[in-house]
Amino acid sequence: MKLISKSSSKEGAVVAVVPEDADDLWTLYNIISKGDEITLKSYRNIKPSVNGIPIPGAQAQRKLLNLTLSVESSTFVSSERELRIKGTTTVPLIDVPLSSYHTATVMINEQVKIFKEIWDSHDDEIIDNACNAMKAEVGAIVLEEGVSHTCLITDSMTILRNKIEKSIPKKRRGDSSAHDKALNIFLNNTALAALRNLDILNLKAIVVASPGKLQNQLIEKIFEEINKSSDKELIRCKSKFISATSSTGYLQGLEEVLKTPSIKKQLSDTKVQKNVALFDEFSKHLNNDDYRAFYGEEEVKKALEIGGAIKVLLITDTLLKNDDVNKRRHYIDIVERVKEDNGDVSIFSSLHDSGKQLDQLTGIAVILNYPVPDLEEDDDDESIYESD
Amino acid sequence: MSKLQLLAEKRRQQKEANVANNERSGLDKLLQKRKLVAQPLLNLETKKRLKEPVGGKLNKVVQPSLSLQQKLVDKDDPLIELSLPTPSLLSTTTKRLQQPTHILPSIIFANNNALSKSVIDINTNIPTNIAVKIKENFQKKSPDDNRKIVNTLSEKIQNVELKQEKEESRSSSTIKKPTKAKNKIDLNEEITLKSSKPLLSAIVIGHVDSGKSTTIGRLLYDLGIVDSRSLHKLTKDAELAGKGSFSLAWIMDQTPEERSRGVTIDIVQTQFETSNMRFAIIDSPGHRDYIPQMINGITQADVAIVIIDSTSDLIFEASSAVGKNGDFSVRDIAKGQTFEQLKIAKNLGIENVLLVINKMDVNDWDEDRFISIENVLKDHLTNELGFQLQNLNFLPASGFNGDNIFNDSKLCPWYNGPTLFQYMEIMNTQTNENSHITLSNQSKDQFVLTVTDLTLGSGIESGSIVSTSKKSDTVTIHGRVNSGYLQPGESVNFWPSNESGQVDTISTVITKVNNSKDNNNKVVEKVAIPGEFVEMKIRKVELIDALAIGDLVTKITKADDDFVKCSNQLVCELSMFSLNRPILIGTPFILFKGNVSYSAKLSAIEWVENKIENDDGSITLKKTKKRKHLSSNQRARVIIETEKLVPITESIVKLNRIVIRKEGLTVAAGLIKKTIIS
Repeated sequence: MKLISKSSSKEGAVVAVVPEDADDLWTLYNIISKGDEITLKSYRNIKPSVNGIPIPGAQAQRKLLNLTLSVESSTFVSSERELRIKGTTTVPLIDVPLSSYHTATVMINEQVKIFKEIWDSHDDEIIDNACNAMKAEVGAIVLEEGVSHTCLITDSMTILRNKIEKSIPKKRRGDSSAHDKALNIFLNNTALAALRNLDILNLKAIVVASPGKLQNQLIEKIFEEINKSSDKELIRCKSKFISATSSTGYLQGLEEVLKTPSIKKQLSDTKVQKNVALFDEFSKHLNNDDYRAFYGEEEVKKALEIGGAIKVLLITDTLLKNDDVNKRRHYIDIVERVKEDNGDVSIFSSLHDSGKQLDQLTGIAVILNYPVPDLEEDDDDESIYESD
Repeated sequence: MSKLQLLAEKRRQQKEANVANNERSGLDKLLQKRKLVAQPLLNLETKKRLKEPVGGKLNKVVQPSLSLQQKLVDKDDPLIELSLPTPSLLSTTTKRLQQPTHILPSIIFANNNALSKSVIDINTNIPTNIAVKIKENFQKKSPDDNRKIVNTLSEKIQNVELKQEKEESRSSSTIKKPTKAKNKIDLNEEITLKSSKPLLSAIVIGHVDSGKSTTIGRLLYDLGIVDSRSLHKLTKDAELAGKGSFSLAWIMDQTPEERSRGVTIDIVQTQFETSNMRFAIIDSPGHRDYIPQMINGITQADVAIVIIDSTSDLIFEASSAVGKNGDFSVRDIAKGQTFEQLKIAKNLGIENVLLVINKMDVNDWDEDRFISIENVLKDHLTNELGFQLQNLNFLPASGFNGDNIFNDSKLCPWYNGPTLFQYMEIMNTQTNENSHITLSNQSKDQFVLTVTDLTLGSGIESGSIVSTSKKSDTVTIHGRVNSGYLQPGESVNFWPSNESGQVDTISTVITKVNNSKDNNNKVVEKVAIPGEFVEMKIRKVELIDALAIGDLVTKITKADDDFVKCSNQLVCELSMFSLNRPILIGTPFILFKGNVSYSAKLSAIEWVENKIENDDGSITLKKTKKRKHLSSNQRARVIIETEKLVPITESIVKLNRIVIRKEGLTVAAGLIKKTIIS
């Protein structure tokens, strides 16, 4: 993302940015909330009219306009990689009267100007991160016999690009030709899907993972296809493929792969990887029951009161993107207090699996520097009974 | 055409009704007569229309007479009189139809009064075709009314057609009728016949490279199921590949991948029969990456044969590791698969286990070694995994050389017990005691089978271009019958796809001992009984692509209750194993049920039971409801959400056993209690 200008005053702040990819759109989605004003280029269907009276029967025209909207709601469609913002216009144009509804799809590489009444430190941080971060997109293929998933992993989201499922007949004593044939077709389809759905030239790496050694068979198939293309650029990309072992071909195998040490090294410095490792550390403490990991808002608040106890605060962007100003304020306060206390803050994207999991665990959690027993709330409704 | 005729019929009735309404008291008789004329004409009309498409026809019905009628409307009474035909005219009507109609305008535009007077005069001279036409027009309603009628009619017709279509589609897809068996057989007689040769299904499990495939290969060779010529060929192939010692294993391992890596990847099942017994033996992979396939095998087995490598110290290490701290599953990865496999087997309902201490030839048949391994295993299996001591048997053997497999070993004087095959016979008798009685008791049970393998088309030529381009409605499925009986000709339903089909043939693949030439011969069966591994050809499946391995197959019966429920929300009771990470709400894992695995996640926890040791040593169980994670060794009732629909039969417990694995470790086992149908 490119930051064009930023100015703030008592009334609020105006920031102009140019989103460059889907990640930036997600960043915008997290910044823009209800009541903000945005100015951006957008297409609108306009019925030709004379002095405000529409010409009957005339065909609507699609015009590119510079609109200013007061935001009512926004949606992010990860599969389409689109951010849509719905609102009413606040600046009348010749073709668009004041207060007419419009849903704008934010265009990549076009400037977006955002006016917010309350511009807080968190917004600053997101914008800074988005503008400075080194982008690293990673492709991943997770498969087992009969099912394969092709995904794209960016800093803030995991996008499933393709899924193939095929019933493969089992091998039989004396004849396994049906099995071999079906497996071959399955691998071929997966290889083609991977080449079609992943922009191999621009990816940092492509992780291929499966139980056993199936991933190597797939990589061979992909290389065969690459060789067929006799595209030198593509052939050079062969070194980007990393083979890994996962216990399953379902999507959850992906997170497992991101945790393995060898992959960790190769994908280091990607935000996803850090978050997955952090969440793993959190669950490890939880499992050891060493009173160093807690989830839930009450527990986090208690930990905060101790002072200096919090090592890392884990929080999902769902909580921070809150249309309710007070609630958002509340969570940002927590984040800031942790920072003042020299604790780390890690914001999980809810478009990644780790973020989704954290979301299910109330969305907020802490890892502590030292064990603090009795932090947990007492259960009100527990029942004790003797075993027989 | 039937719909069109229906339409014509309706229209005619409508018209007749209209005519009847128009009748006035004075004209009754005459009108009746006119109807006689009108009838054949109408018929002619409708016949013509039948050839036209429905849409156009409806409009045209009104059109021809419109212009005339419009003009005649005002001159109602006089013209009716005018049009009264005499009987003699009626007879000539059809002939004169060809005559010119140029007189008509003068009649129409003439003064009303004058016309009425001249009526009688003209009567005979007026060309009859005009008279007929006029008369005909007055039989009809006014054009507006006509339009209305046509409109309402066409609406009605549309409704009629829609209903019929709906009924047709329903009868073909949703209403499934039971079909009768092709041949009438005496079920009891068949059962007696079949139970006289009881079937035992045994799975061979063990750590990787302990010699599972080799041992089975040896057993099949010694039983004469694999002849020396094919073994010779395999030996040659294996030697060429630099893997001479794998020749016996290659009997079971057939895919190129398995052979080149020297590792079994998927299970393979072989059936054979002796003079009085039938056996199914399932080879399974021992590598930890292929535990899912092994679980698939266990769900098809009655007993387990565990092969243990006597030359390796893994067993000791694994059991002592458990002793030190409870962190079992973590260390188990390094210490071999044996205990994890046995734990899964126990949780999936396998009680009877034969432990084969293999590769004894390498140890020079060291009795002390055998006893120490036996003790470690006994200790661990009874104390940690909860097996009954009387269900465990131990046997020293060499799969590669064939000692104590089929033949007694002469190298092992200190062991006088049964050989592997004799043990299998013993287990068969134990398992199938009273099988006849239980089998006949089950005759009223619903037929249930889990699909373990599926081939589209009629079998042999699957995957080839010809059979895939031509959509067939036939599938060949393999599976073990869980309960009930099924005969060829009866219809079955697949769950969760809810597709149905008719059973064409049922067959079993079984090889007779000492009959290697007749390898893999199919036996056509009259009935499939519980416990049998069958291959079924099923026809008339509408959407064969909707079927998948792991589907449940039930017989369609008249009493169509909801025997199978499909849901992706399952209420389960779990006992957690040792975890190295807790299962949190939202944690994804793999759910194994029967021979299928589902991608699933924990969606809610109803309660968690913790063991709390009191000061006096007694154990209190504490149920907690407000929890969002599960940790080691807890018992819990949870709601699991799967990605796909899971077919559940609540009455068959064996099919509701589940195992949960996460990141390559078995983390929990349990039972599906009920489904939540949203």
